[in-house]
Amino acid sequence: MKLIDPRVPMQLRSTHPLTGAPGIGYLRRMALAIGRARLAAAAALLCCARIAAPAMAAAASPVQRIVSLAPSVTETLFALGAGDQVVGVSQYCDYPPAATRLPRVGSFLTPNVEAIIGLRPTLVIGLGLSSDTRELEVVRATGCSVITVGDDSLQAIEASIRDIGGRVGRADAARALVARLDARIASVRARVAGSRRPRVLMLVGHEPIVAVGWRTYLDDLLTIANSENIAHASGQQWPELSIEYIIATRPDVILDGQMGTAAGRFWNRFSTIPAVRNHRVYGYPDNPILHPGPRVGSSLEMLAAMIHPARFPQSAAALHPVEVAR
Amino acid sequence: MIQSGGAPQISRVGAGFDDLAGAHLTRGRMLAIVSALAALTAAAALIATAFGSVHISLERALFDPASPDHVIFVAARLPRVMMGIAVGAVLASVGAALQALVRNPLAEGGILGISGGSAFGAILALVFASRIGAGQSVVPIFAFAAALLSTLAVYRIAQVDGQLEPFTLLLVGVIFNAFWGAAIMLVNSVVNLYYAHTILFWLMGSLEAPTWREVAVVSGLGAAGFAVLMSKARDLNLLSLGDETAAELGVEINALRRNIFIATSLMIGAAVSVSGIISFVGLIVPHVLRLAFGSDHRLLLPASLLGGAAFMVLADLAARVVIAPAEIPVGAITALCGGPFFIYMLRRQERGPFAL
Repeated sequence: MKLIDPRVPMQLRSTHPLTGAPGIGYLRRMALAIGRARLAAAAALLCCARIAAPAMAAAASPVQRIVSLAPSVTETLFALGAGDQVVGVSQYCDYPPAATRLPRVGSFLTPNVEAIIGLRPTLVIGLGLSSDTRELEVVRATGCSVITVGDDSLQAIEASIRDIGGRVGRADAARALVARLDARIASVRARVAGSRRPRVLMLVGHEPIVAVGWRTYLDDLLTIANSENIAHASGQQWPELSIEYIIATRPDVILDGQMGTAAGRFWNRFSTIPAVRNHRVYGYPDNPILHPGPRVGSSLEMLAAMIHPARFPQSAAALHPVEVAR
Repeated sequence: MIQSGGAPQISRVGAGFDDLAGAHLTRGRMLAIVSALAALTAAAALIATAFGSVHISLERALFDPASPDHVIFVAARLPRVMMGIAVGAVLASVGAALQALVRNPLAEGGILGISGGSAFGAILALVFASRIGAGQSVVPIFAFAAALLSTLAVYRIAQVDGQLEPFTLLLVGVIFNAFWGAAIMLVNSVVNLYYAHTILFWLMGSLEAPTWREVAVVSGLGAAGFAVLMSKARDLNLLSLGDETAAELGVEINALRRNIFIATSLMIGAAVSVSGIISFVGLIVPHVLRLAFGSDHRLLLPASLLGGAAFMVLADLAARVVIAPAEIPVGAITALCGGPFFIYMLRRQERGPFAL
């Protein structure tokens, strides 16, 4: 397992492309979109050859024009070898690289109905959150198929892989992908079995302090990695935890999305926290960890290695504890 | 909304001053009121220090440096209460001064576009400074600079024929505030989810996890700005009689406006750079105190300083404990208290003589 270079600040690593909602004429937009889609399709083929398992049977189904409204959906499509059918992605989609060259149509938060319809999709896949329901109805009214999938639990991610696989003629590939994911999960479970169960705090933001709460896919991963998520008590998915509570709960391990000296300065004020005292505050790369989707297997392995380094000796060297300077 | 009939004659800020002119502000009365408010603030601070999202033992907190209680007390709770005092004091005293300056009861840092500009600067720094290699430390600098620029722009644009009409100033301020709000939402729509959450946090305002250094910076700049306001307290009183009368009585109107504006934008910039936009504190606190003690700014300014501190500390206590261990942004609490109060003020004012 290779972790991303911790010296590169997280903000630099993920791309934040501005939405390419063009103010140009319809024809030109179409031409551009088609051109880009062709280019991307070529790249996607290369990419898929690498990602998709060779055993995968390419089911005979009509080629679709798919618009994805969420990173997890995009990653799933590419992982299933259907990347060449994707003609539009959300502004937050930054993996695989081929996806970043596709036209952007907003996101599950703010889908751009005109941009979506302009790509003449035959299938639009969204998350069905309150933020994109209305827009998806409009798209559906144009006669295009619209489906929604979930991505906020491990179960939902696997179900969404199967759903998407079924819709794009890659059901076998989906079954194989889920089986590989299950095998990775089982292997992590086996490695951490019988270990002491440390208290863990996983942060996704510092301003405010937002933790991974319960009923999220990350909480599922923490549980599989045999740890106790201290943010459960909040009863929220993404609680803004009080620092007093964190000090009082004494987490043994802190997984902190923010790496480098800023995180070190932040934590070094709270020296009684066992994770701080024992240098067990780890930075993690937001990509893939904060991306639900088919890469949760490698996310799980990274998190488990931080929580139980003794059980993952080959990954221990790749960990990057946050420097808590005195 | 405030004025009926369309004439920009909306000043009532000074109405109470006439009554007070007879009843002199004696040293004894001032001392009594200020020490009572100081006691209130101290009591609020004590309560806020005693309670939190977790229970701590005061004995261990004070005498056992190795205990989590001690760390919670010294590194989390105490700086937060101190920051509440500093930010509340700044917001309320700035509100009191600006209300006198533009002779409008609705003035505060938010409505004059100062805190909007400051928040925009902070958010720009937060989102983009890290990409060009600058650290988080540039955030307060950007917040100041933007507060100052926004203030100066409002000040310049509101001037008509070299005169600063309070009504025009207020309108320009409101427009600027809306403009900054829109600019912030624009930034919000092009950044990733992580930053979108941070921006929302800035817009709601929170006193979460301040460092002692931040407490020192806000207190220091707040105190310096407050000293300027205090030194102009008498001029602010005279200003309530109208620009002409004040000028006849020896007040240099333009210099006064400029000084107050710069001092307040420094204070607001400092507060916003750590706490985001906390609304309504600058509005409610001075009004309540003006009702209670009259509008002599020699008393109103220090009273607002203390009252703002007490109010903010208690609001933040609520923010910390209501849904513990999670937190509510304190700005939501102050706005929940402030909104209904605001409407109450408007209704009172429409009905009849209201000595603000």
